[in-house]
Amino acid sequence: MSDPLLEVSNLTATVAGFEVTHGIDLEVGEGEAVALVGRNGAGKTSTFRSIMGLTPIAGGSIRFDGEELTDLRSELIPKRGIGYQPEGRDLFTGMTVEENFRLPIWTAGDARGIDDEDAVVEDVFDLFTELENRRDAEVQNLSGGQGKMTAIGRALALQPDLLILDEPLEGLAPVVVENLKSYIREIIDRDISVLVAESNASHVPEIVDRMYVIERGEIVDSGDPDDLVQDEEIQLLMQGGGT
Amino acid sequence: MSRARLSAENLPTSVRVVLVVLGLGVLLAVPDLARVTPLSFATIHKGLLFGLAAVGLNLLLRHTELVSFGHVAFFGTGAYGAAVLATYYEVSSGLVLLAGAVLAATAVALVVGYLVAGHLDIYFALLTLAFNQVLFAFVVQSSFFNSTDGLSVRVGVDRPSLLGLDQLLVSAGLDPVQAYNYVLYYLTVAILVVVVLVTWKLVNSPFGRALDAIGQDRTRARFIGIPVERYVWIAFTISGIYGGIAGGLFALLQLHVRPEPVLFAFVSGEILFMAILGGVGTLVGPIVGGVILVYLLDLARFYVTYYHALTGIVLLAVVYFLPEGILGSLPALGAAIERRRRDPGLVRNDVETVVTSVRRSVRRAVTTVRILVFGVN
Repeated sequence: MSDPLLEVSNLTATVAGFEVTHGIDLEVGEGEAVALVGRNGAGKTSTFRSIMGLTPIAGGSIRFDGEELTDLRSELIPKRGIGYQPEGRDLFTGMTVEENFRLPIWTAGDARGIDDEDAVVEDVFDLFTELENRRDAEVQNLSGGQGKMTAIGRALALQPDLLILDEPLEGLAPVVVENLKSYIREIIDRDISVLVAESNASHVPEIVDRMYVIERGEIVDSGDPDDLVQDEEIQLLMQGGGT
Repeated sequence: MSRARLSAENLPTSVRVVLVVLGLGVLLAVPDLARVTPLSFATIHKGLLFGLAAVGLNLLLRHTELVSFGHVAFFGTGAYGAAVLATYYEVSSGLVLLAGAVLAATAVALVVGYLVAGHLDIYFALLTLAFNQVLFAFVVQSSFFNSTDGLSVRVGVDRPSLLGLDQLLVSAGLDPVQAYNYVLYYLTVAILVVVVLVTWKLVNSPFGRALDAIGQDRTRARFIGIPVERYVWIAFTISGIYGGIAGGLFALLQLHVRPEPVLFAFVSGEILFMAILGGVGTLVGPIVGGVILVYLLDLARFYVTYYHALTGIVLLAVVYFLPEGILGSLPALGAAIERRRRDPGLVRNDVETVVTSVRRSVRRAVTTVRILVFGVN
């Protein structure tokens, strides 16, 4: 594995005073694609939100590119190079697709050294070709798949080194899922590290190099995705059984 | 922004240009109109000043979705800023007094804004109210501000000078009081135009879009790198500066500043109401709301004992019948009229709907009376 770009150690996150993750350890190397797989409520989103500084942490460390993130204000984290697509769409309604892409550049582009705003935006449209003819559409009028693409595109607009995707394939039609998978693979091909959460393990081997399994706020296994999805114990766990 | 867009898109550019020209024409003609009609020039002027403060409040309300219950604090700070300069430092230049008003309001807005920017919803509203009340109590108790008697904005008996333009009109034969009021009025209109243009530019800038994003969801705004508290602080300060300008001009108009009309929290509620009345989703709606509400209150004072109840009645009417405010409802109203012009059959439907609903209400009322009188229906 390459040098870790993101290194999460012994992370304990809290929501309303209750611990929701217990000593999470995970790493993502430069240019690597990693999945965090678990059932709904297993702690995937809490882990991601902790990395983004949106959920308070009670202990542990999050280092990104050698820098400790736990003391940073949440709005500084995207400026350090982490893009985030939250669960659901979470887009800015009343604004167009293009405005959703431009907004992060307007407010944080300088910190990422972005000189040519238009070039970055066009680069995102080049990736998500089917958004091209929807660029002036207000985002509340998009389909589910287009909405997810816009959310990922917005996260890419600050040219991140690491892209965190929270259930990007959830709730989409099979044909749209296949499209999105190919887009994610293309992002990985652009040498952007990807950390993706999925509750459906079957999608994972096509996208990532490595995977972690999370259950009740703890990492219970990690390794090669092809091996892990075949593991009967993991399959049982994903279906709601197991320990 | 979504609301801004709704109102902007529903009106064609040509209509908007006509409305702007018409509005400016009316504003410029107010002194002349007041001479030949029963319109009160002073009341309209006062309404415009409160409307200007409401434009500032609306910057927060419309874009960051924050409700301030203490906005008159900046209006009052501006007014007292000018009054202190005139009373204690014998400053007679109207423009310097206005600059003092803006500086005072900016300083207070910076401090209050810093302390409230991290709060949301009812906490934000209550904090602004609390700061407003603290300021009011401080001024009322303070001998420096001459307690409830307030301070004069005159140096001796003289009115502040307005770049000598008022003297120019006096030498042309105009009464000195009239000359002063005319020059001050046109200064107000000029400032109002600049403020509206600046606000329009601001809300359509990346900063304005970021405020919209913050208004929609602060967490979402943070994870794309928007420094939420800093932007809210800046918006709050700009909003306070508008209040300060309005308060400074108000001091120049009234020539005496007392705490109750410029610092009491009830007036904050009125400024908030002006924005709602004119249309929160519009840029100039708060100005229209300001003129209408001040006019109604000033007029009602002569006819009704409980004239403050009028604010409540008008507010109820707006909430039930014009939820988008007066200007905010114009596009929808225009579209409805246009539909009826194209299809006169719709008017018959409207009449039928009204008749049916009146019949239903009467029937319900009769049933209620029967039950009350006879115990059964």
